[in-house]
Amino acid sequence: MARIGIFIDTLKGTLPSSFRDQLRSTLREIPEVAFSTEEEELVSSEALERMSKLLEREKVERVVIVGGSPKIYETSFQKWGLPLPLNPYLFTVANIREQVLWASIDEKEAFEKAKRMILKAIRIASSLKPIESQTLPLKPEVLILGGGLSGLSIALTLAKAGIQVFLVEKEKTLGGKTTELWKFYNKEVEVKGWLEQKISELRQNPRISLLAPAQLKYLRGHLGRFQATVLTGKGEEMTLTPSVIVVATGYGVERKRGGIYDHKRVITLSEMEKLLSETHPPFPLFEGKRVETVTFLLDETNEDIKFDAINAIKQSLILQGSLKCQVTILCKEVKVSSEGMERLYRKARGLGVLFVKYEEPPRLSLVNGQIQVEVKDTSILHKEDQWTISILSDLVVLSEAILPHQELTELSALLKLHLGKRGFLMEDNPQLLRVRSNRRGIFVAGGCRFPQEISETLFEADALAQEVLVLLSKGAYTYDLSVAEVDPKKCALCYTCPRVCPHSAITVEKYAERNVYLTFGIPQNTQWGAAKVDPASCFGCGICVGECPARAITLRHYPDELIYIQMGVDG
Amino acid sequence: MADFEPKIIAFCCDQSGYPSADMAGTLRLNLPKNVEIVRVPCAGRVETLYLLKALEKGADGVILFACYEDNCQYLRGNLRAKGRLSYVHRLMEKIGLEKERIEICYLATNSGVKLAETLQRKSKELKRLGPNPCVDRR
Repeated sequence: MARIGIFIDTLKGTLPSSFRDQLRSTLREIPEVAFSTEEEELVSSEALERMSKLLEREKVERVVIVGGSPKIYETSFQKWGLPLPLNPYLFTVANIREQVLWASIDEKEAFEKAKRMILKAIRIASSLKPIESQTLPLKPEVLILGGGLSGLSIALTLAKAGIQVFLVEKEKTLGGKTTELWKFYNKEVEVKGWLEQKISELRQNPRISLLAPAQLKYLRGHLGRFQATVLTGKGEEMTLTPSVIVVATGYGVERKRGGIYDHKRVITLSEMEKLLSETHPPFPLFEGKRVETVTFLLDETNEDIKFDAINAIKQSLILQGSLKCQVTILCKEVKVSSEGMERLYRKARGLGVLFVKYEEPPRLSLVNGQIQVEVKDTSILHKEDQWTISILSDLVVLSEAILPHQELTELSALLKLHLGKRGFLMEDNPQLLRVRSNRRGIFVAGGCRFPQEISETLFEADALAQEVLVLLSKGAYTYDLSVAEVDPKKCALCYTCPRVCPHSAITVEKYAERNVYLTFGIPQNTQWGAAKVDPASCFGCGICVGECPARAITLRHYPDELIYIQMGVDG
Repeated sequence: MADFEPKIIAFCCDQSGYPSADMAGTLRLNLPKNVEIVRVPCAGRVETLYLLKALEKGADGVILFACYEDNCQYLRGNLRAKGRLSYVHRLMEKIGLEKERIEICYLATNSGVKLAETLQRKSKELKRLGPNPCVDRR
């Protein structure tokens, strides 16, 4: 019988004294209880210190806290440190304040309920088992997939911090979609030179091994023990053993085709960027002829991606300003939420760039070798004043549809990552954990997660590099064994748990011991496969536990009996 | 039957259900008298067996408080729970038990009011349905 110490948290007098007296007299009758003591405010650091001393003196094995919500104690333990010398999993909390006192029950019933809850907590406490922590050594090696802007920046930051980086790029050249850009919108610098400087820095860094062209063929293992097979351009297979994998493979584009959209005077934003970079003032030439009017047609497909609007405004400033063209921008919304964009938008308006808001898709037709765009201007509030206007222009500039890369589905299956509804890679939490994926040890950034503007991509690359450094800086990853565990003797190898595990922490491994389900008539020494949970990758949610048909999996910090006791049912 | 106070077992997911139950307390909301709150790490932890066992061993109704779809911290736990619940409903139909006794309710972290309202509604519903016939009350 384990000795149990009871701490009654009065929560600054929220627990009335008559109630506490009644409680203590009841507690005296329970044989397991070694002592019960009262604290004014258990979540403070001084109280926790007193608690540690008392635990040491009384040599209790389990602790029951009677007080408020377990969440407040958990946060205070995280903040002030645990009251040693007890294992952190040997605590249990009876939530009297929230579930009894505040749930508006009359006094007599409240006491009965509180008593029942404390008795339950004592039963839970005696059923608890200590959970130790483990350490997984991590060597400073990172594999980065994708040599676009995010891949490059992450590689440089990590290599500066002394980490060995393997950069795998599918193409021969580095830089990805950024190479199509000519100028930044917020700096008077050409992108090409800036990018080339980054690339040469990367090539000179001895800590970065560049594998281009190369492709990831196969991936096994978990955090700290990945085994990646990479197929290089020469057809050789290489096996890398990185601790962490970073996915930064970028996005794909698709141009609208068919009918008038195939006409040579309908070009895309990146073609316009190229045209501008080759143009010499005073005016732009298209196939030898002067271009006087340009219409941008934005937002036909991806409405939530803002860098099309940024590029269009940046280009229109050059066209309208120094190249003396008349520019019209047709869009559904002007997306100027990036830094400094509002100012550029005002500047464009001041220069005479026309902005037209449309809802129905504009009609394009060919008139005397020029493209006529007919569009209903909905920026006017009164419906009767909304006219359909037609604009004749020498060039129509389209924004490309931004799609997930064609190979992303394949890659996500290879890495066992989740895809979002639109086909991009899904982050673990869109607000809080933007660069983590569903698997521990695999991070996502850049266009494969969500296409972004250059400065945002750089921010994200920094954030990701920091996450990786936090993980790798200690040289080891320490985790509690509060995870799921498979009993290999019960496992029938049905492959349910590897399928349902949201974090892909379960794989089928060879065990030396025989499997009782499959041994009929088969020699005993044969090795058998059974599911195995990788403790470093497991998040401890218990989905596999609930799903296992053979009930071979247990959640170490949440076993069946703990739930049965809470339910008030004997298993 | 006037004094029948139905026993409800509420499985509360650690991310949404349990904080909501705390919040219901903080807001001093009226919870039905006979509610057992069971804290689980994720709604996906709740096995089919627990739901059935709860009914077998004396509960009149069971509610599973899970996170909204696409909102689960463990990505798919709530969907798994939903799947198991529909399986339990099929089993209950076969043995002739009202399937309204087991229900899933989606919550966010701050849905204290919704939790209290759901429990109250459930309590009323169960009062109408009467005690759980599976329980041996001798």
